[in-house]
Amino acid sequence: MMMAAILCGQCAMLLLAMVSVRGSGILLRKAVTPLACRCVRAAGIVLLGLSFLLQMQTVQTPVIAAINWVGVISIEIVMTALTCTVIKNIRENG
Amino acid sequence: MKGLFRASMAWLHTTLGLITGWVLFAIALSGSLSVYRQQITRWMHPELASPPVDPAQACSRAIDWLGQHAGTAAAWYVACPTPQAPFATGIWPNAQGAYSQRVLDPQTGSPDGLRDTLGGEFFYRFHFELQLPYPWGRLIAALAALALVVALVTGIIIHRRIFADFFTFRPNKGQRSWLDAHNLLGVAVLPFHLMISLTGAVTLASLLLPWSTQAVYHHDERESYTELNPALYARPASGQPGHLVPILPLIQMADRHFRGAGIAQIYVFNPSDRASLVTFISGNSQTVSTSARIMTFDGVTGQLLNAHTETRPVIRLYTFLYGLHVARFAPALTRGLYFVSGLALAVVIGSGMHLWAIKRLRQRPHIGHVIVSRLNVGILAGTPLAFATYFLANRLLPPALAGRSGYEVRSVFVMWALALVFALARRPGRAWPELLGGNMLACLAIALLSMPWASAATLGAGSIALGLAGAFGYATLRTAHRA
Repeated sequence: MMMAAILCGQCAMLLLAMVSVRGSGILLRKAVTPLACRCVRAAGIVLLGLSFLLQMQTVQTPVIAAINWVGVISIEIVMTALTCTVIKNIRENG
Repeated sequence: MKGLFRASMAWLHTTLGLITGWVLFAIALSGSLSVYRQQITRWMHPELASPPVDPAQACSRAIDWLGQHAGTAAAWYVACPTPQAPFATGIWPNAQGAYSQRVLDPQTGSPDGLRDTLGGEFFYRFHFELQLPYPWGRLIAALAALALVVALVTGIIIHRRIFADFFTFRPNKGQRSWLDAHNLLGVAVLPFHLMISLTGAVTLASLLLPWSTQAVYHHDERESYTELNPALYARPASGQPGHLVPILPLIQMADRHFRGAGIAQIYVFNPSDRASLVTFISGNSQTVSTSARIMTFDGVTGQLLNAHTETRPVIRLYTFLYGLHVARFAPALTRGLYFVSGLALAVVIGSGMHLWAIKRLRQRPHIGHVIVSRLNVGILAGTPLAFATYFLANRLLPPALAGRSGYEVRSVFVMWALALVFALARRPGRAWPELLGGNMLACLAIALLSMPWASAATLGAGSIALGLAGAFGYATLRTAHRA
């Protein structure tokens, strides 16, 4: 359950990065339409919510689950930013 | 108007960062380490065996030993064994009022054969006392916590492209890369940073806002303390000798009363007097709040004098906020997240300080900028080196050395002073890789001294030290390349 929560959160962050101002240029080859952009963003938010619910199921105390979720999401944001950096470097140098 | 507001917020952010940055960096780093203070204490006592420990028996033996060796002390404070720290810790004052603290073997109740060290307690106390006398260290820490809250809020206000740059880190771009790192970690870990700085300020609120207590209790600290902790009071000694009742039955009674929460601490006041008191404080590992149940017995008759379970909403709110800060409740994952987030805070502060210096050195450098830039090297690379020295001193000093714990603490400040002098005397381009390389070697040495990584404490310390050695090694290579 914990692993599923982490995976959902990481996928959510990647989806949100895809439709962010800088991330879209790195993670997507073509420009996306505004409708697709909204759909991807909505999917990202849904996954983020799902990761929160899964985290709540993992730990009995809701406060501790919320603390864990916030902490894990922080790391996932940094991981997503570093992923974008690595992909950009590979594209520019390769 | 909007531009003026943002500019004034930027000034506030920079000024507060510059004034409190160094002390906040040390506070953040020591706070991160104190998340694992019990595990660090365990690591620093390699002589301790690891058989299963009965907390009640271990506490009873500890109190028996204190009765034989610190009978005349005004009080004994015993921290009971926990799964993370399977040993009792005894603290007692001597006739001069100076406190002794020793880990007590759970099998014998004695500190004999165990090295004298403060263990992780050093980082915990340094985090909010800064090794300064009361109230100065706490006051500085409280003001620094408040400054951090303001710096975080102003940081959000002045971050123009918070959403556009949300997932942005551009390496190899000098000042831009440092700003990206500062912003990325500052934004990603913002909820934790806001929570920890706010709860830190609340924890020390009585120092920041002492006037309400002074107005209500008219400077009578004892009265305010008793009202805050109704079952936790000390009565004056009668002056007539008395003998403590056997402690084990009281421990078992308190343990039954606390219904599974366990006993966290035992206080014995006036242990050799007829007016002795024995107080039991319950554990609270199942809740975030540090609010505990307390039972106080007459030490001579064993009669229950008072029992209190906290229900007052304001105090429960305070203990919840305090509990959030100290994370005693935290299971392994939460503890790890606190540690990583604390390190991220140190990086945010460090990158902000470095950014301040390189930005000004590129524009119109003067002697003040050069000094700050060099002190940055001494603090940002010297603090982790000094803290690593504490671990190394623990293993390198002779175990039976008299006053050993004092020497361990002194080694931290000697190394810190040396790092500062070194950084002041040396060009930053050279001092950065040299001090970072020193950090790498110190962390590698800690990982090696943790061998064979057989227990949870040595495995944890060894793997974290190895990870940090890798990070410092990478930073050394990067800075050496630029020097």
